Amino acid sequence: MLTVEELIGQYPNQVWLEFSPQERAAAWPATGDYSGDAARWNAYLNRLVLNAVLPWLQEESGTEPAVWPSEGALPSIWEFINGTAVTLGQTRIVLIPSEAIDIEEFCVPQEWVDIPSWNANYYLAVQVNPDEGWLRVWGYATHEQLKRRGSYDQLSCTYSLDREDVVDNIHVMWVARQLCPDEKVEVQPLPSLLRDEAEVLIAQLSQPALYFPRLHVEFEQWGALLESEICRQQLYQSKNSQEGAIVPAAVAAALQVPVNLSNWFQNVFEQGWQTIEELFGMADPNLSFAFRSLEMEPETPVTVRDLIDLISTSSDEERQKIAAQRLGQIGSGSDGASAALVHLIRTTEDEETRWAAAESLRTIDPGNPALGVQRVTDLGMQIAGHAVALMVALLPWGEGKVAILLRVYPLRGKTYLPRGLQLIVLDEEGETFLDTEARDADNYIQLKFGGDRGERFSVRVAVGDVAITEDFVI
Amino acid sequence: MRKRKHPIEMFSTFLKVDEPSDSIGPAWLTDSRLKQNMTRMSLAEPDAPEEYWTLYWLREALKDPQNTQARSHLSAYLEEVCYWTTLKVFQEVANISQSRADCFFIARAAAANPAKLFKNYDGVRSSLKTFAQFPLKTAILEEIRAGRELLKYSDPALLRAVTRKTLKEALQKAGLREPELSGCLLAWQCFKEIYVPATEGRSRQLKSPDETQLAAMAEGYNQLRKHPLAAADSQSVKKLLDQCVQSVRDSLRISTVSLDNCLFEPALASDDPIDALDEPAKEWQQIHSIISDALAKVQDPNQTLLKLWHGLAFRQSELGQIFGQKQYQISRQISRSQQSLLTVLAEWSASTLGIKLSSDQLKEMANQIEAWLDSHFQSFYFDVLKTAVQTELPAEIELLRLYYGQDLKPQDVARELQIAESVVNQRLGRVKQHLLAQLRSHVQTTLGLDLSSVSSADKRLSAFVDTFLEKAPYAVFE
Repeated sequence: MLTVEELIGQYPNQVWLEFSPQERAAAWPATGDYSGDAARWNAYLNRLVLNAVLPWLQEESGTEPAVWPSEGALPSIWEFINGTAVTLGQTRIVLIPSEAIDIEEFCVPQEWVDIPSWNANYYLAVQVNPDEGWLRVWGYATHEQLKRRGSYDQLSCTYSLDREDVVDNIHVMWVARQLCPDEKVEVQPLPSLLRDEAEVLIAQLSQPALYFPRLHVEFEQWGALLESEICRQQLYQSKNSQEGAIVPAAVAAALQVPVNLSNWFQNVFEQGWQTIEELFGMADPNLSFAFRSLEMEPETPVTVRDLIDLISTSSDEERQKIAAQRLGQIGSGSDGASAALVHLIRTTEDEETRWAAAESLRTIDPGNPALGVQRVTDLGMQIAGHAVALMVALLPWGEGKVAILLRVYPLRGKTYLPRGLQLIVLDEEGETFLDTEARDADNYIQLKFGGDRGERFSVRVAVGDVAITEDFVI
Repeated sequence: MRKRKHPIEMFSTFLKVDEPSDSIGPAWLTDSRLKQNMTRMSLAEPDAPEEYWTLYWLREALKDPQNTQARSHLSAYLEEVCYWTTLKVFQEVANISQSRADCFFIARAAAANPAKLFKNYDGVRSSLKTFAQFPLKTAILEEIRAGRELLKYSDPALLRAVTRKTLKEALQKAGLREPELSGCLLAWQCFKEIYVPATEGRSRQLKSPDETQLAAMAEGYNQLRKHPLAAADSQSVKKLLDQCVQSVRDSLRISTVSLDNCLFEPALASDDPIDALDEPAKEWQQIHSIISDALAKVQDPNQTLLKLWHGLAFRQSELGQIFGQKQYQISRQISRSQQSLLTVLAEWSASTLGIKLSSDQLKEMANQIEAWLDSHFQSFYFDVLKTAVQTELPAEIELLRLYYGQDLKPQDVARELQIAESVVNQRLGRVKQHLLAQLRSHVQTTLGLDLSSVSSADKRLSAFVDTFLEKAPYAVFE
């Protein structure tokens, strides 16, 4: 038998790593973490590989690698699929272990390729031999290679590359990462699952006698379910509980996994957060951000130029706000107007002014990236039978600051919110920080506030004693 | 080894392999069917050069992978690459349990499958032969490492240790067609999901699945099966798995290229002078100056490292001894140097040639650089030895010409030179000893090294001298 040292010498362009019996023992998952032997074995191999490869990645790149999406999420991934994602700065790498003794193909589960927020820059082909205590990274593939040249197997929902198509020189990856870091292709976005759909799927897929949950529904649905941190955790827990499906009324509330708003800026959204168009079927169902009517002062200057000047020179918040609103009416087609509004959004200390500027910018320059992100979630019929939706709009400004607008709308054909419906923002300690309440004939209610990256808050929507709470982290 | 000169020869002759004595070549055997074919086709293209025929046969082989004629012509053409790659592997790898002839057969089998071997060959960056050496080396190494290992595995362990592709190919080779093929693959997939090693260790000798496990596999099978696969029970799943095992075991035998239908005749020893040592091929011209410039910037002692590694085929563990470092440090230094050369070549290719960089492109460039470094440093030491022969051993040139250049046996050389056969062997031994001493002293002085502490250094240097003597251009020696 060859020693690992000898093997390293024979394959100078691959990576061979060893692990000790202690490291093997430590990689064995705790009882109860997985639903069965297959999942446990999968977790074991992936853990062995992850632990061995992380120091190598750090050494080669000089960057500290981070497990993606988080260490805590791993069981909910390894329960269902093979592979572990790691990020190195901007680069995402998925490690795909294989026990096979031959390397005729490199086989990657579809989830790592076709889930938009999951796919990676590089996929490492890792052959692992637990008994002999070694693994080797025998090559890598890019996302583009898997999509363009990989053959898709319907039976196992995997993409495979032949050995000849894999880059069997691992040093090339580090050079490629510097010189051509963009070897990814677009993948189809997955449909948003409604809460009801997700609950049905979870119940269906977590039946104990069901093998291969990942192969039982259309990939689009499966992928969407898995992509959502909340749904995946829920599926994992009910699969792992061995008691069949338990679906609590409010999936999110039961799990208390905060919605990560920073990810939204990277276009990564939790399941159930849709665009406004997706939920309402139109771009703007009375969605003006700030005000229902404009109050123009008579002395307000009336040319675009004057308005721009006023915004950049005035220190009067009120006058700036009114000028910004006016620009939304007459500033269309003027680059200067957009620029002035963007400047105001990013610099003003006043939340009302910021949202007024954003509203005007939306009108005259709807594609402007300074408009941030808006998503909406259907809260279902859970609040005393009232169907409502919660919208969260985010505007980045200053250094790592985010302006947040929350709004609650009626759904299912209703025009008005139920009287007395409350919208409450709670701080990290669970203390009420802001609140508002629907009166008669309110089309919506809203709250505006600001926060810094990393801060947590919760939003409670309540009618009487019945409430739904969503947790967020900025 | 005599160099094949004419395209007709190149595409119709094979090295003679003698398994009992484990020797490959130097004699060439002609496949008369291939020769007739080449002769006939050459009438239409009498002056077509080697490159014309390589591209012609490659195109034919890729167009129709079943075209055995095109495959055989290419296989013949790649004989030298198979030979030198086999030798290189034996130089680099210790304790190979297979024979040289076995490894050569592995390479030859891979060379006879151009659709796989040249799948990504672009015809631009490197010649067919340069390109082929990397996948051929991988084929041999993988077979050495894994091929025979599987034979030691119990049935369930074997099923866990193959890739889907290997299994599928084995099943196809065994003659399975749809829907039986899908049935077997699905059963295997269920096996992998349900049968896992319960405890660590001894995974080569896993026990057969029990009745409960088989029933669970049948359940999984039935959940996933689609028309027209029939429902399975534990017995039918077991049968499908047995079929998988049998097919894989059957496919493990090293497949030798079938040269059965050919009538072999010894190739005529040509009287032509043997070719000069490979000129730097055309493929290198473009990158030569780029890489040499970049190489000049590589710091000592990394220069020395690259010379010993690429030029003289020292092993990494030996380099570790020489430089007083761990092997992984040596490995890292070599790879850092290669990465920096790759970066230089890639940036130059992008800016000068307008090549859009990708991992595929970079992989080819990396192979190109590796081949260039090998050839660059080897030819440097070849020149050292060539000078030594010409200036210090002029009286032996005729002997070397007959023995190595014309591939004559010692007794035939003895007859030609009218000396005793024992004298021939004696003089050959002296030449080798002399060249070894020269090379050792040259390496020690120019690189400032002391090799006396490295016990296997002479082994590497001797191997290099042997290669030189086989490849040397005796015809142009004065």
